Amino acid sequence: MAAGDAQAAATLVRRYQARVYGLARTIVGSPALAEDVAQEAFLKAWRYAGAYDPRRGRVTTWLLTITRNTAIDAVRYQRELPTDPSLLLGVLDGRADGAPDPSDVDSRDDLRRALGKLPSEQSLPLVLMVLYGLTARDIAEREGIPVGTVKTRVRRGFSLLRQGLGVSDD
Amino acid sequence: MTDRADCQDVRDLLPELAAGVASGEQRAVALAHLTGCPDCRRELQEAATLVDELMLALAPEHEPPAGFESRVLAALPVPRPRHRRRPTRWLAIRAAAAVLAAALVAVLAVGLTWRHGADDRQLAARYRQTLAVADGRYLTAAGLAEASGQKAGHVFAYQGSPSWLFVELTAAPASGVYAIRLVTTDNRTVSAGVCRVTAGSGAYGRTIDLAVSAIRRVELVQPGSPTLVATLR
Repeated sequence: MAAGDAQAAATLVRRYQARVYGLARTIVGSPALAEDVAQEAFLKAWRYAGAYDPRRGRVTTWLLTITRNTAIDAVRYQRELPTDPSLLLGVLDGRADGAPDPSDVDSRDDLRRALGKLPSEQSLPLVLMVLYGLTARDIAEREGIPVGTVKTRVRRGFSLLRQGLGVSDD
Repeated sequence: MTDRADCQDVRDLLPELAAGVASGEQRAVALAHLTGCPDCRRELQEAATLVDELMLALAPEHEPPAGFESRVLAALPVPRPRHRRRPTRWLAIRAAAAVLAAALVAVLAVGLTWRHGADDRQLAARYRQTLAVADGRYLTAAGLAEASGQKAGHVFAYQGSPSWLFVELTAAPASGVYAIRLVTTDNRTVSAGVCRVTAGSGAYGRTIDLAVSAIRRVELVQPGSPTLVATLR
């Protein structure tokens, strides 16, 4: 048991550390805090590995969800977001950052392009919700717009992204 | 929103549900609707897939600083591959245990009676009786605790014909099913069934083929909660 566990842990960390650390850094900004967040995410993943349901998704997305939630907790009480979502959106020109799974590169690029094409009033709340874990109400307060408007924009954004992916590039 | 959400209410919530930011109340209302609405379930599944893809698309991979991997591995609760070597003093301990057996049984019985109520008086009486009627050699006990030292219960091991193991949990950190593993003095791991725990309490008992002297420690394992260990040695 011990030898197998140690091997599995090393494989898990080695394989996903760049993804986990990359996401943590995207959300919390500070490299030092990102390292703490990434370490905590791996500890949680290891602790809750038994709760991972292979039918519900890939290990990557499961691990990234844990990372995102850990990162959000780490910066929850900061008044300002530690990184600027607008800057993140500004670089969505289809360049592939890093080297994700080869089979996924095309669809990720398509998704980045599709997001880059959305008006910022749709893409910004969407990124705030998906990446920074803000609720529609949080976003409404932050942006000074009604909650209903935020919900409409996010839903519209979701719908356009799905359509955009469905019909590939237009 | 009322307790009886319709499709429109739930679709309004889909992005927040998919992104995992909906409140508990919102999730409950949506769940009540989703169980009976395949269309909304499909919509939610598609939205959740999109959220997953967005997270992957938006977060660039970034190699962590040097030494990250070894720091994480050092922090993970994985036993070190290095083999722990201890001088085997078991024979001496066993001799002492045999001499002390009667006193130990008496102390345990009194302790159990004092600590717990009628149920455990009965339990202690059973142990005394078992030792008496089935040629029991000794009864030993060890505290069951998390790695942090937080106590969770006790393990009682009875050497007789047959030998028994009894686990009593009074403050387990989680409910559910704990797998029971016996780690032997020669470092083998033997599965010994499961113990169900409700609200921190549970009990388990069975005969064991191993000699009690061959059990180094008893581990109770449940994914997602701290492993509980009793060291018998």
